[in-house]
This record gives sequence, structure tokens and C-alpha cells, in this order.
Amino acid sequence: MFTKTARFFTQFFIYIILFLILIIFLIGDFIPVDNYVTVPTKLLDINTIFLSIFLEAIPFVLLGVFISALIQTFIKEDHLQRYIPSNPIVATVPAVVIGAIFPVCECAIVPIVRRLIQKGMPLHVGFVILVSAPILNPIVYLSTYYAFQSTPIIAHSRMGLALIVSLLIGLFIYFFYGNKNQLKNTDHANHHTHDHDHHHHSSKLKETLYHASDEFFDMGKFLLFGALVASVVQAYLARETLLEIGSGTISGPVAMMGLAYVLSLCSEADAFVASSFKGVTSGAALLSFLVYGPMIDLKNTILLFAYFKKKFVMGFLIIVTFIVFWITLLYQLWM
Amino acid sequence: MNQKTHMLFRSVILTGFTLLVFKLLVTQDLFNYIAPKMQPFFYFTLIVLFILSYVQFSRKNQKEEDTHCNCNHEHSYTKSFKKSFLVYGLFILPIFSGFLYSDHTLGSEMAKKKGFKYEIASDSNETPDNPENLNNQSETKPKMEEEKEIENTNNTSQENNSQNDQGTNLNGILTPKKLYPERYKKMLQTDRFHLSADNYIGTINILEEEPNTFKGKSIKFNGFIFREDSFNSNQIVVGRMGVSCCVADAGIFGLMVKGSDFSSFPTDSWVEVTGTIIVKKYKGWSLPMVKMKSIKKIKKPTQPYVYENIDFNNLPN
Repeated sequence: MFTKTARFFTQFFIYIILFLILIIFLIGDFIPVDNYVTVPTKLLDINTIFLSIFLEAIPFVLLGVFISALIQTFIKEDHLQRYIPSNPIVATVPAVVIGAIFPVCECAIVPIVRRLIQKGMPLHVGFVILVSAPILNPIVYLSTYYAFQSTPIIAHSRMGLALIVSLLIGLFIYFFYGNKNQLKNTDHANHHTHDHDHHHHSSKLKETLYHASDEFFDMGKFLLFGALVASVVQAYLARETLLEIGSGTISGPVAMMGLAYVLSLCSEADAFVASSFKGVTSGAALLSFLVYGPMIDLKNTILLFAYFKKKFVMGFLIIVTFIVFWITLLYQLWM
Repeated sequence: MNQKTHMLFRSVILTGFTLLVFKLLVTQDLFNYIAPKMQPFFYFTLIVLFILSYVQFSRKNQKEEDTHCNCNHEHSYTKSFKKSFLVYGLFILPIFSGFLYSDHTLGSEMAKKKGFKYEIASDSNETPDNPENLNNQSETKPKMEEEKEIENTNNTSQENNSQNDQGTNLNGILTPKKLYPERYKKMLQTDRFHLSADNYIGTINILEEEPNTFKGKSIKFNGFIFREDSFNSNQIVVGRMGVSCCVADAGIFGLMVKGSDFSSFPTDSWVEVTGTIIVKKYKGWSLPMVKMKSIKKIKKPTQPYVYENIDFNNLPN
């Protein structure tokens, strides 16, 4: 299969890449690239947005990876079983509280929740944390409050709706999926994670670092792909097009949710983007943007594919979209 | 591809990312992607990536059974060559494009995708200077003159003050007036606005919120030139990209400039404009615009973006 010469050439090739990286690191700025190749501005714009989404996510993905490594080491299944209420509906309440306490953004939360579910946390409880942590937190509340200073009701409603939506998502997931295993390739993951008997010479720290590195690559490819798709869509989709479609009671929220999905912004910044649509769309449409975006977006969907079964991710996407849409519509009627 | 080769490939990629983050931090090109307030996270990232690439390199020299991270063997290393190269290619792409094109910043092309208010602004020019417009403005005029008289006595000293303070006035840029009371107060007191990177977003937001209050005052600001398709040769928008977290959320902050023939100024070139603030009405919207007095070409600033810097501890309640 893998002949010696093939291995040699692959390794040789990789060393050449390393060499090129070093060269470009040292003298990259002195190479007048523009003289030889003219790259269209559009492509450069895509590259810039792509890198910015990716770079912005790296620190938080790394944080998430380390927190999940800590969970792996320190939290035992019995802990979770003891603290999570046995009634599946009641169990969503502490999950929302946990989501509200920890200001973890949407990139970091994915590996954490994956690990918690692996440790035996019920699927729907894990997903309540996944959708609530990036939105129900003080930083997001404050940034929304200041972005919509003249209408503070937006910030309050955002938090209120997020709370309702998170709980409903938990219930829907429980209703549709129960507690079936939805994790990808986990032959024995749902049972014991700590019954390893084979003794390694490597220390716990080294293990954690190995693990972090592996997870960086496992997740990184999905993150990169998500960032790439999001940046291409951003560069080609004019905002007016979406807004032209969406000024009605129903089309407004639909358009704004589509925009939130495509832009893949981090939840701290999306309020400022939303505030630029003030006066163009209705309050309910703005809220659908603000509630939907942190819970699910293009980048995140692709990240979820890294850990969860395809069918389940699609189902989750539909559930979130459905609930956010109807809740904002009800909110519109009630206001 | 066997595991050893995977390990080698990964250590090379991690080294590449470490060097890229290092270079972006040193050259400050990082701010072409990320707002400065996020910088501490990237020191953390640099250290972690450095450690990971070191660990990864040492890992490849170990025996295979030692390299597992002891978590159920859930990490798989694909045997397929094609797949590995595709995946690792995806990692290598940003390393190279980051090194080569980190000085690229978003310009008019993206502004066009993001901006929509200037389309409205250009529509309003089809009915220029309609009489009802004047009527509306006359309401605010007496109030403004009143204010001018009051401040006439200490006008010069205050203007100096505001000039000095502009550099330190970093807090609360986004939402007008309340969020930026000092800037608002200063704008009421002075007749000439000079926009710097620190007060750019604040001033333009305040102008858009209450264009009539500041009508007739003079303004000096810089930015790149941006045109909608519907513009004629004597209209341009001069603006800068405002970033709050990363450039994916960037939006253009700028003002429409009306004046002589601008065809000698290409789109995306940087200019400094001096002029007077005027107001155009369109479907109930009052839009601030600048009537150009002078315009000159400038070099693209080393830091072309302006950042929304909201200090949550330092805001009025």
C-alpha cells in the first residue's frame, strides 16, 4: 500500500512546504508579488474575509479545545448524572442557567458540548447549552444594549426570546431524537471514557497537548471550510438584495435570518451590524437576526458536521430555524 | 498516508500558523483582519500554537502507540492520499495567502455589497433642492443661530480643547449622542469638525442621527472614494471601513460629497475632503452630505480601518 519510495516523496514534499513557509516568512514582504500576478480585488477581498473569520475563531476554538480537554480529565460521568435532573424537561432549566453563566462563544462551545454529551449528558440538554451560551451572556447583552441605545427593548427582547427559544429547542430535540447517540464515529464513547488500562509513559500534560493538537486539526478543517464558504457568499451577496426581499411581516424575518446565517458573525459583534439595518426592517426582523445568528450559522453548521451525524445536524438546523421564525412572528403579533 | 507522515504534515502546518500569527502581530497587519481589542487573544494563540507545534514535532519521532492522546481513539488519520492532501491543502492555503496578502484591506468593492443608504442618497438627487426641503430646515435654523451666539464668546478656546481631546476620546463611539455625550457636546460647540480615526464612527453616526443640528458647519475628513452605479460625476462617497470584531462585520462609514467633477479621482483612491455639511431629504429621511470646498489626494493610511471601541465601564447609564 504505502511503499517506501512513496513515503519518501511525501516527506520530501512536506519538507519543501516547510522550506517555502520559512522563506515566505523571512522575505515574503520583499517579494513584489503584484508585479508578477495580478489577483482580482474580489479574490483578495474573499481572502481577507476568509482569514479574518478563521483568525478570529482560532483563539476561541483553542480555548474550547482546552476546556473540553479539562472536562475530559476532571469531570466524571457520575458527576453529570448526579447534577442533571432525571426529568428530561426539568433538566433543560439548569442547562440554560449554565449557558447564561458561561460567556462562551459559538466556536468554542461546539467541542465543549460534544465532550459533555460524550460524558453522558443527555443530547437535548447539551444542545440547550450549545444554543444558549453564545447568546445569553452579559457581553452580548451589553453590546446589544449599546448598539440599540435608543430602543433598549431590543436588548431585553433579545435575551427573553433567546431564553424561550433555547428551552423550546431542548424540548423539540428531546421529542424528536430522545437520547439516541448522534455523535459521529463513537463506538464506545457513550460509555466509559476513563477506563483506560493501558499505561502510557507520557504524562497527563503531554496527553492533553496531543489531544488539543488532534482536535485542532479535526475541527480546523471544518472551520476553514466554513470560513471559506461564508467569505465567498459575503463577497457575492449584496445586502440590498436580501433586504429588498424582506420588508414584509413574514419575508422580513426570513431575509434577516438568512443574512445572519450567511454572515456567520460572532455574537458580540452582530448587534452592531444589526443596528445598521435599523429603519430598514422591522423590530421583529432585527430580533430574528439577533436571536438566530448566535445559535446557528453557516460556519457553525459546518463545525457541527465535524462531530455530529449529518442527519441530526440537518434536523437541528430545521428545528432552530422553525422555532426562531415562529417565536419572532408571535412576538410581532404580541407587540 | 501513514501516521508518521500525518504527524510531520501537521507539525509543518502548526509551525506555519505560528509564524503567520507572529508576523501578523509584529507587523500589526493583524489589525487588517481583527479589531485591536482582540489582540490579547492572539498572544495567547501564538503561545499555544508554538507549544503545539513543538509537541507535534517531538511526537512524530515517537513510536506509534505512544502518540495517541488517550481519548478513545476518536481521532482518525485518513489513509487516503487524495483526501489528506485536500484537507492539508485547506490548511496551507491561508498560511500562504496570509503571508503574501496580509496588507490587503477591503475597499469600495465590499462597501458596495454592504452599503445601502447611499443608494437612497443618490436617488434623492433626482429631485435636488426641493422647496419643502428648505422649509424643513428653517425650523431648526433659529435654534442653531442661538447656539452660535452663545458660544461665540469662547469659541476659539473651545475649539482648541476639542482638538486636544480628540486623541484621548476613545470610549463609546457607536450610538450617537447618549453614547457619545462628550463628542456630541463638542460638536455642538464647534463649527469645524476634524475627523480622526478615533472619532470617525462617532461623528458620522451623530451626523446621521441629527443632520439638521449640524447643518452649515464645516468638516474635514479623509477616506477612500466609493461610488454607486447611479452616481453622476459630481458625486462620490468618501468613507472608511468600520470594524467591530473582525472584518467580516465591517461596514462603510462615510459621507456623500457633492461638488465639482470628480472623474480625476479614481474609485478606491484615498482623499482628504473639506466642505460644508448640508442636508437632503428623502422619503422622510434626512441625510447629511458634504458640499465640497477642497479635495486632495492622500496616501492610504497605515491603518485604513476605523474601529468601534466601546468601553463598557466608561459609559453613562
